[in-house]
Amino acid sequence: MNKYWERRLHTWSNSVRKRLGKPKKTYVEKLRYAANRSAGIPRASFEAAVSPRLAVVAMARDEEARAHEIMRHFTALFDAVVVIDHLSQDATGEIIAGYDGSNGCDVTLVRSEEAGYLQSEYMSQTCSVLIDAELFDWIFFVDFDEFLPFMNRSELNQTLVHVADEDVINFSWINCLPDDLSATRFCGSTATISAQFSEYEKVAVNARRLKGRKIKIEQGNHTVLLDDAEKAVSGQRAAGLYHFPVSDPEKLAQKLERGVRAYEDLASRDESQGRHWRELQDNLDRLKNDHAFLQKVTLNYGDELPDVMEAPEDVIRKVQVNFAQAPSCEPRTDLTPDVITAATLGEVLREKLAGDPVAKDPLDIPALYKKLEPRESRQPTEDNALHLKRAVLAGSQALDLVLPTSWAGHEPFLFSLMEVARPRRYVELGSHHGHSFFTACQHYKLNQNYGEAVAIDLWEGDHQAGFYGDEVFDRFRSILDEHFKQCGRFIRSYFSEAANVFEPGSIDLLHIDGLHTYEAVKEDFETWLPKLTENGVVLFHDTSEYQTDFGVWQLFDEIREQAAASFRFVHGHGLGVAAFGTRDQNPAIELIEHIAAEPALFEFHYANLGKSLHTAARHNADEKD
Amino acid sequence: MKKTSPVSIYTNCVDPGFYGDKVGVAFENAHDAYQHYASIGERAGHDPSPFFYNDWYKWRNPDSKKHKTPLDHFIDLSGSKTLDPAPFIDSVKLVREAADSSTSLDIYSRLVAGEAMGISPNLADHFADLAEARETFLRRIDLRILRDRGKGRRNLVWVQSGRSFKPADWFDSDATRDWDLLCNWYDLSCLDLRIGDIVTRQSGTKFTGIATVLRQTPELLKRYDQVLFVDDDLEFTHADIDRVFGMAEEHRLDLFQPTLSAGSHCVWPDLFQRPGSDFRIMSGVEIMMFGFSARALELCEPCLATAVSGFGLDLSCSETVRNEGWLCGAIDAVAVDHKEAIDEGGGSYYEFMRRIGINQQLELFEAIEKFGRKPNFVELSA
Repeated sequence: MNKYWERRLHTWSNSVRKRLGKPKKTYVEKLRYAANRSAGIPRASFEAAVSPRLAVVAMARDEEARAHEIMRHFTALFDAVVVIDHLSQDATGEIIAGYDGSNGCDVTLVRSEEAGYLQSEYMSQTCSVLIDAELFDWIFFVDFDEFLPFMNRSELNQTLVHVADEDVINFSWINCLPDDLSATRFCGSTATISAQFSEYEKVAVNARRLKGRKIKIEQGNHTVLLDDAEKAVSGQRAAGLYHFPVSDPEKLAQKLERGVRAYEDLASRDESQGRHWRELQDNLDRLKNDHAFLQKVTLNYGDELPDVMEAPEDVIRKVQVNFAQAPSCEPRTDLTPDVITAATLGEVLREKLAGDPVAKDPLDIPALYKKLEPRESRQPTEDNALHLKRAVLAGSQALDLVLPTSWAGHEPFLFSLMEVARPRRYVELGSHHGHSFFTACQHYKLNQNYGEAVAIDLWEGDHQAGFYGDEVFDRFRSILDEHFKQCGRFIRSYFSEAANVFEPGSIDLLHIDGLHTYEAVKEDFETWLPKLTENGVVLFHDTSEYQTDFGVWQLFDEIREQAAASFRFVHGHGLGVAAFGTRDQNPAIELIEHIAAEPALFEFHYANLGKSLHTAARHNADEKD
Repeated sequence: MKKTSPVSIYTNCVDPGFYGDKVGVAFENAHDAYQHYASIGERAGHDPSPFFYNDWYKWRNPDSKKHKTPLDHFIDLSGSKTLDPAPFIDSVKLVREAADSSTSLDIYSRLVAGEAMGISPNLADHFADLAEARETFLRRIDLRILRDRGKGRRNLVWVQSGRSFKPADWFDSDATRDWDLLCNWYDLSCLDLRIGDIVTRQSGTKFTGIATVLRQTPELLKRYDQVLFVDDDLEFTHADIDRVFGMAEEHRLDLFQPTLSAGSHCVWPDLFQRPGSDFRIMSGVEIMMFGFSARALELCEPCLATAVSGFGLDLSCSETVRNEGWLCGAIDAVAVDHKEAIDEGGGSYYEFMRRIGINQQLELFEAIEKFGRKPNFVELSA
């Protein structure tokens, strides 16, 4: 963020603070602070692990002149871009589509050939589909003439940390008039801006918080209505937004003409809407020839003309505009975008987000959990070291759910292990309430469901954990269906019978947490070891329990020699981890070796981090209740 | 006020060559052909093009009676609603594939104009494609028998098992019974292996499950005197099942089903429970919970071993059994709740069929063509 924006936001945040008092630190912030402190990691590195998934939605029409710059901006800041190309006659669509995959960003382009002013309907539908897809944390709604004042994704992420508990956030317009009206790029240019932020804002919605709510993005993407409420949600202002309503007066004339016509075509139009466009169209000649008038209109864009004319003389200033830009891409020459209507937009987007149906063989219908293909070998590089570092940092992911468990405290290590090992299939023997299972599911869900988790249990209990009724399974099932339907599966069965449903080599990460007698855990290990891939990992819970007939500690000590690397955490009743295979094919080995080299340090790190996460999650749950 | 369609649209929907051949008149243009069709031809049973089946269309769209002809109904409504003009035309799929703003009317007009779009005008080609798609799918199914602890009891209850699995609520493994329980799991993501004398695992529908077992391990079914195939969301008691088997045997019903309780979903009024009645002889039974005697299962094996969507299977089995002079019956002594709405339209079942290349409407039409009548299950014993 450049100095100008820093100053502006600082001034604004000070004024808010004075008005509202010092904002209360949220649990999310507390949690992150606690995790950061316990991990002893510099804050700058810690931010790298806090990376929400971001999508942006926009409509475009005949924007080929701006398309490259805005798409470079979007692909620099977002994980996914959805653009509805509305009636473009130029190469807008081809340019947008050319950015698919650029900078790791998924670009989805659909085309509408419906006349009319449909922005609110399109945006609302798209919003619902993206929220339902559970792929994103924030969804932004902006236009093709608006740029977020961030130089890179880290800056944007950092801003979002402080609004993580908001349903909706706002980005205030700052209207800009470029000094060079013929310039094709705004980034790096000098512009005239008003000293005041516009009263108009653009919105982003918190997808995880608004799941299940009825959402309407109002015309212009200025406000959000929830659950048919008449009053818009009052969101927290997160940052500003460069808005370039006018670059080329000729383009402005076209835009005004189209806008006015679209409003006139609107069957159920509200006469108050679009009035400023009609007024501007009536004054088009003056806009083209009178620079002072043009500047006044631009800097007060969105306001009605009489108000603009009566507004006090602008206090203006010059600013050098800078914002994030990813590399540019070539337009697609073979473009055939899906054509949508208001009726089919949702269906088309859902299909697109679900992946390419052609790529998946519809007749691939295995009866059992299939053998997993061997992974490619990797060479140790600096990237691996970074990968390990990120894995350790990933342990600080906040917990979505808190359930009764004796497994508390191991969540951060499971996050780290999954981050580094990326198990394609996680199988848990003995899930009970499902705390550890849903922790694994959470990792899959937060990472585009790259694998699946299978819980195996009778859900009847045993003499060590106690026996219980169907209410435990019913709750497990409802959580699974509500939160993790895409990645979570279950088998209600004895472990030995469930083993028949897995082909040899079909499990990357096995968690044994059933009956904890020596004989039972030995049988589980021997039955299930053949189901593990060559480079699999096994977790054993209760390795620190030495009471009565517990014997996991003994079995774990016996099998450690078979493993390429192993480690035993003492906290949380003990968790043994054994990784098999070779270092170049199983990255978990390297992680475990690192941990084993500094046992006290990592015991301290994970135990304290686990405690912090659990406490924070419990407080969060209590607060929700 | 009724919307009047312009003549030009009507003419795009009649194939003068095809229609002229059928009625023995050489039409100079499509407009004349349409006029003839609307005034005489439709009533005489002639279709306007090889892509429009009057009789089928009227049956699938009962509201078309209000229009002059079924074609008029199609033209009036298919611009805004996706309608299938013939059993082998899946308009939803074609509209989706068109990648423009085509409607089912546009698609149909293009077909009539001679644009092939991969759609043959010949019904036999579609039946051949359907048979191939069925074989391809059935051959790919991987059947696994996870447990076979059948106790040699006389009868078998087959439960098609998935997310709505209810048998764990009503099944009592310690109760005395004269039937084994087979749970056929089609959904790998939610297995409950606690119950079931026999447990199988395979993806697909209830019908492909039956077909695959009949093809790969027929003895799993054929060793029983009677077999009842039910869905997993139906709730029974052991006594209900004993009674269904007992009454079917006593009254020599080769094809049978329990009746449905009031408030359940069923399109055939005669299949609801009749108070005061034990059973009724019917013209056929539904596939939701149909039972077979051993000889009926043997006789219907060709139909059962090729069905994929199950559409038309009730008609095929009922007609096959009745053609032998055997009896189909609804057992009023047992009524079952079926409160879940039946998904016949564009829901997930239809989409699944589409993905595997099966047009379920065509499967139904194939049975209609074979037996020369449409499904209509009514009481015969009255």
